[in-house]
Amino acid sequence: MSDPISELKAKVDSLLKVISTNVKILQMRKSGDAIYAAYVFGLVLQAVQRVATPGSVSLKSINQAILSTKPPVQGTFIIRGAPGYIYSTAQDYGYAQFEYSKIMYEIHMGVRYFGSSKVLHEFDISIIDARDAKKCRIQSQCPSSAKTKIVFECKFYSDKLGIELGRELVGLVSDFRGLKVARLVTNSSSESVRKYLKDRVTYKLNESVTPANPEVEEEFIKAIADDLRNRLGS
Amino acid sequence: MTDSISLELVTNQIRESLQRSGELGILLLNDIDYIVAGGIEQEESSNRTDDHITRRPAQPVEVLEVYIHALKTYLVDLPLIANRVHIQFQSEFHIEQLLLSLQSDLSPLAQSGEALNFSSISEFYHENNTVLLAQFRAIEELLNQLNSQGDR
Repeated sequence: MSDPISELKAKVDSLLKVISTNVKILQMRKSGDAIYAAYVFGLVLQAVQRVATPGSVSLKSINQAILSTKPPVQGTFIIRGAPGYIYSTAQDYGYAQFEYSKIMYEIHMGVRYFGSSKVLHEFDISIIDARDAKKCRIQSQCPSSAKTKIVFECKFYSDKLGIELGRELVGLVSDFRGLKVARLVTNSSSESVRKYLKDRVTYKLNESVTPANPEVEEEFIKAIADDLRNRLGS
Repeated sequence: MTDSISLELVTNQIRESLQRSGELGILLLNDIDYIVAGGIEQEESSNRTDDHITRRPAQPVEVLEVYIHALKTYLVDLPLIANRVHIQFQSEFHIEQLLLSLQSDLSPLAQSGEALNFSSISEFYHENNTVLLAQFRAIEELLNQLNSQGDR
């Protein structure tokens, strides 16, 4: 039997062969957070489907909203993977819409909001009253902090999260006084961020959320559904 | 000592391969270097506070673990996530083409429309996931074995 080091070398060798024939896949390193945000958006949609008015959840696009293009999303959906304006037509960005308690809401990715300080901040995922979103699109304005209901910051890391990410979230959200829930969602974990956010009401940390952990996923979806029931419609 | 030197050789083998992979491999190496430079968090102590997390330099086997974990994150975990998103949008909303626009519309180059297609990642996932997962499991087992040898 060969020694572990020689075996290790051989295994690493064959692993590197896969990388060398698929170098392009390393491109995902640049878009890890955005792909992860799209995944969390999908989980938020699953939570929304549990609480929204039946049949009211749909995907929309900016061109449909502004130019009334029909049909709306013809088999294509563009996820906004970099910060931008809710009214931007640079691409036909997609978003979701749903009704809860007779009020329409929209779920956006990467949209920028004005904080109380009038400084613009971007949230990976945000839920906003659809009337406010529509008004912003018509007037080419960014929504204000008072209009944001629930926000999500998504972090895809190959290492544990540092305490600075918890502080960053608290700092960011302190500029959004009307905000009811802010969740930091990650594939990774962090004892220090967990401790830091533990006694704060608005901020929640969701760790190890990945398809490899279906129980954690389900717990997360249930928590979002509770957030929606408790925080929307009022 | 021999084991440490051999492990460093394996680590260098990965480094060189990533360096040969061009800009993207080098970006990944930068991430890995950052993690390794941050050191390893010390075992939990009851009087530890958030601001006083003690760290120590990583041992050769731990450095290699960081490399392997980073590769697994981008070659196995992220394709699994992208594949899940692709399937969900396809089955629940009949979305055939799911694109991720990486170009900020705050930039004047917005019209260039640089975008990543989820179907290509899904393809990579289906073609390589089983093999990669088996390879990573075998490597992780060997690293555990080396770790336990080091403990003795």
